[in-house]
Amino acid sequence: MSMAGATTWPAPPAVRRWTRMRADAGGVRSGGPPAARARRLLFDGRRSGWVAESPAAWRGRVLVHGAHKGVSSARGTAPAMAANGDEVKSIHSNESSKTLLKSEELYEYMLNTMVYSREHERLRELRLISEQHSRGFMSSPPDEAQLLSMLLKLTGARNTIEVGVFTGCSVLVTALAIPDDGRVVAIDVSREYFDLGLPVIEKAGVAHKVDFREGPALPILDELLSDEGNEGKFDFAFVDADKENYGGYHEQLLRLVRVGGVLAYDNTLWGGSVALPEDAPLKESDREMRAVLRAFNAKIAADRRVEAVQLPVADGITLCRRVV
Amino acid sequence: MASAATEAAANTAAQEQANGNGEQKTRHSEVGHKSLLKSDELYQYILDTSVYPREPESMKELREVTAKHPWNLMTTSADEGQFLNMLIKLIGAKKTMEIGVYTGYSLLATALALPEDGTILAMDINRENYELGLPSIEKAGVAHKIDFREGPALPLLDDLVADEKNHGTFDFVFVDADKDNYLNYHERLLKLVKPGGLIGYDNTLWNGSVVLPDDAPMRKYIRYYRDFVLVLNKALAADQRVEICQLPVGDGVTLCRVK
Repeated sequence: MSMAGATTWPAPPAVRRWTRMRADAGGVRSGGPPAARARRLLFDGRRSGWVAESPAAWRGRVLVHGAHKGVSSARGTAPAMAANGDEVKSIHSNESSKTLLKSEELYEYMLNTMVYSREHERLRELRLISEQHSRGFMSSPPDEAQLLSMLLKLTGARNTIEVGVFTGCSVLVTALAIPDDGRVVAIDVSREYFDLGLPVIEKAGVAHKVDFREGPALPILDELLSDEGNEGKFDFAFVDADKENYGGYHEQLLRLVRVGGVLAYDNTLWGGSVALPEDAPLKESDREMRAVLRAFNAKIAADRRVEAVQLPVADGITLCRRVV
Repeated sequence: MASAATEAAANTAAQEQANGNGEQKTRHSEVGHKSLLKSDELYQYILDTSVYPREPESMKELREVTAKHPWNLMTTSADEGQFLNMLIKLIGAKKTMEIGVYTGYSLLATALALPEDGTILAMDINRENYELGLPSIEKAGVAHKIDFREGPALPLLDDLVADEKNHGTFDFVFVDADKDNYLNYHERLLKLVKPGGLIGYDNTLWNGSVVLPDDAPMRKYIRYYRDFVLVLNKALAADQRVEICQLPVGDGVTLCRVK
């Protein structure tokens, strides 16, 4: 299927499958049957769709996006193979490349020369905790954290929103950057990972700035919007969550963030796969994600309500400035 | 880059690159990679998706005029121009400075972003190059914001520093000039830029050569300035008077926020 040049995409089949599954499962945290099955599904709000919480125990798992190894075989299709016969790896995993730069050495140089020596002690602590996690690759890398901090301070941001928290590295860097009376509304489907980071955020003395909301983001953002006082109240939004919903978050955030404020979206270059030819070997999940992100990038480029730059920091950050 | 040495280097680089047809392929990043990114295709994707569709006509024109110039390796890239434009708007800068102008691509990006009463004190040893870009800047209706001074930057900076009334008055400075003087500029700029103001230093990843072994093959001007870039990066990282952030945009730009 050639996708070059198209600007809108039909939802990939995977998304529709989630919707059915979600209806069946009745949501993640509701009680009653099929609650037992539902609880074993963790909505991976940062990067994927529905992810099996304990893969071994969960039969018939349907992992659609995300960097879970063996996803293709779980769905009964042959794993993607590279030309040399090796199985194609996921773009994001604990073993994948961390950079879009032309060499790992150059990335290491940047980190060693300009980042680590300036990294806040508590950020480093949380980074090391997150790296131990099986999904540690989902964390905001330290160069990204440094950019966020710089932007927040340069713009004098006070009230911010974060969609997708994981262990809270970007929440912590935000809380450290905004003034004492600043607030970050931090949304994630699960507080399980955030609870790993909260003690560090508390130790940093900035937990009072964090307003964590557990649940899927669309309803929570709607809830924020239902209060008229929240229109244009926020200075900065950072979105690092389920990519299929970036478009939806964008619409809501364009009302919550003030004119002149910033909306930042993570992972918009998806390992650089957005620029790969159609026949390049990719895991099915990455192929789908690439389509979603290409569509999102095109949407943002055409959206006259924002000016945007696409920065090749970490996995690609799109920085938007609301203009109308 | 604003020194006779760098212009000579650019000239040599231009001669090195001229092929039998007399065509010049003289972009700083021309050998191998067009950018610091893992593939030319990825860089092109960013340009085609996010940069070119939104590039103002005047900037496109200036870029095309510059592409014909033998020293075009010195120009600011389109993605970096777009980023500078956004930064200026995000910080609400009004009074700015640019050290190193060449034909004026980043100068135009800045001028377009500034409010009507915004100003740029622009310095370059070579007015002739600036005059190549000036028609595009005038056509864009922003030339009145620019105060161009021909000559080396240090004496002018020293003059500004000598008058305390100038201290802490600049919101933003972009330095894209002779790398062997960046640290000298830095000391003066720290007096002239306001607390919370921003300084941007260009070319701080120097085509990625910062990680090459010393005996790796390198173009002459890259090798010449590489040590200065390495020293600069270390010095900025250690300078507690600023907060820093190095970005792989263009050839590497290091943002320094004055505390």
